[in-house]
Amino acid sequence: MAAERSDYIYTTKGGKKTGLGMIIQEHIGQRKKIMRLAVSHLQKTYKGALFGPSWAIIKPAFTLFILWFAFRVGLRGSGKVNGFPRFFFMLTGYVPWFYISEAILGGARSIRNNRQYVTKLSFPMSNIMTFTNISSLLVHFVLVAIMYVVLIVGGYCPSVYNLQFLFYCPFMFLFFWILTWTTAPMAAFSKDFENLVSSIMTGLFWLSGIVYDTSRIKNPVIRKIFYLNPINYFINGYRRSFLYDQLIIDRENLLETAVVLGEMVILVLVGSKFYKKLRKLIPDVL
Amino acid sequence: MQFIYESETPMSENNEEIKDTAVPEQAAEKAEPEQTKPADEIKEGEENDLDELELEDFPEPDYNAPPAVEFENVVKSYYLYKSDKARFKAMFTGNRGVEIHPALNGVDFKIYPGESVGFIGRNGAGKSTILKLITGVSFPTSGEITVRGKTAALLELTAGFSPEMTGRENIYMKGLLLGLTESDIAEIEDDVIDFAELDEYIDQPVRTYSSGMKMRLGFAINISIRPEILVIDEALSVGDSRFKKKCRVAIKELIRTGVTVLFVSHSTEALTTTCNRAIYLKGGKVAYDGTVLDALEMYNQDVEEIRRRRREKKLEKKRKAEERLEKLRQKRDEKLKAGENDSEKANEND
Repeated sequence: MAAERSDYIYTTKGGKKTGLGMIIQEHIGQRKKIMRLAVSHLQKTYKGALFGPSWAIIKPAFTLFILWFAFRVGLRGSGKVNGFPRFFFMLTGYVPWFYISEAILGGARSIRNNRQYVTKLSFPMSNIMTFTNISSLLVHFVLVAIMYVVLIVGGYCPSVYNLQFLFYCPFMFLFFWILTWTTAPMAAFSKDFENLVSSIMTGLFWLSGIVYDTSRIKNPVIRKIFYLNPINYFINGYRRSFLYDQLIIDRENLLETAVVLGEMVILVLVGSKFYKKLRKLIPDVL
Repeated sequence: MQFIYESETPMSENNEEIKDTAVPEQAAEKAEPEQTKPADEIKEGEENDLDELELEDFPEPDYNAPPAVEFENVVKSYYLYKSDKARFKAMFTGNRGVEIHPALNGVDFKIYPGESVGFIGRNGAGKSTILKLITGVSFPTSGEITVRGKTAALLELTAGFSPEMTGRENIYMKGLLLGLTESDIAEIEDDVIDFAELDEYIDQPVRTYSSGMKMRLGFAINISIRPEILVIDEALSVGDSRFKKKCRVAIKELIRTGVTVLFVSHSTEALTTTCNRAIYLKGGKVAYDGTVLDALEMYNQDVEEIRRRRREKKLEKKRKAEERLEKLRQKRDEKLKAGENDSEKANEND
């Protein structure tokens, strides 16, 4: 006779929580599991390759190398942006962009790609979004390290302002993680949504200030419209920390910061709603 | 008595039986030393099988404890989307006007710790849905489910394995997925490797494993976490017959320690020897909840009924087809004869 019983309990009672409450509860005490899954996700993505997960770094590093070759060796007279050589300007834009695009795309695909956790195991679904995003973040850290070395060689670093990375990086992670609360369940529910996300990625690239400086746009209305783009905000944040040596908040980006924060609140509300709505449906339709 | 049977056909004999089994429940502690004896005997025996486990060997269910599994008016319906477009639309309209397939319509039952319950029913009666709901994979449309105790589901043994990680890493991974702490996993690690008989393969990536090895590892992990509720689907197949036997012995050991067992099977043999209670599901409802034999009888009756109906339908169809054929033949003959000989036709008309 089972004399002692453990206090494991699973109940559907008291399920009147909001999506936000569900997500928070699903994350309590799961740190180790999520970290392990994040690493194994990287291994899985690049399985069978000789270099394994290092491909996650080699691929963007190669793009950066091409950038260097094009703008430092080839087009020497490619001019300056905002008073900085175009290569360094693009480098500091590309590195966060690699993360952002991976977080948006990989995040949206995360549930569908890990469907076995949803349809065969009792696994907190929101953890899937989290570990996918964390594994992108791990790659991002390595890329930032490479970027930092290049910037030191270029003579733009180190500087005290580099510490602002500790603000922008978690903020960026949080923002795109919250975004996946909406996108991942929706993409899992309907493949059309996943295709929609992947088709707007190229558009997002050109509408964000990666190759050009949006703060130098002449038309003030268009310049203000760019404030709505959070990608733009984070990329310029990286430039502030690594290139411009500017503070996190000053008069120039006060409005932009407020807009991004507002967007984040909206995303929390929308994501919470969608997560709650679709959480129970997804195991049946996936 | 907490044990209330809600069946469509109340049987007076059955109620007496329940009382009989429930009486020694208070004397459960006394009965315990007796139970250990047959356990040793079976251990020594060569051909110990799940089939040979006598119902008397079962530990008494603990009816005083809160139920291990509790279903309260559980309804589960699946949405059937006509197309991808309908699905996309449903995301915003909240599934309005989508066709619904009801899998469970108001299922109520309580399973107490130590009971071993068989689920009987035809395909589509809702057995798998119930198991999915208990394991927390799927969620009820309405109604409440409560499961008390660590649950091991011998349903999807290889689910959650990462092919790139080694067997040992996967033990940790799966353990974490099942809700164990790292120290718990470290404790069971050797047991798992022993049971799965993977030896030196344990440090190889799982993608190099054969399907049998993966199954073995999955089974070993599930059985080693010392579950309090064991969910078994009979359609489970693990390795060769020797390993299968080993699994059965392991399951039996668990049953003997007082684990709650939920067992889905179509086999009369397995059900009568494994379960002391059965729930017969019919069209997403509990048609009968009581002794295994009665449930099986009802099930077989219904199956017989359906077979008979089917046979009748077939016969009817056959009869109709033959009739039609006969008519056609007559027509053909008439035509032939008419063409051949007019006089003969005239004769026939007479």
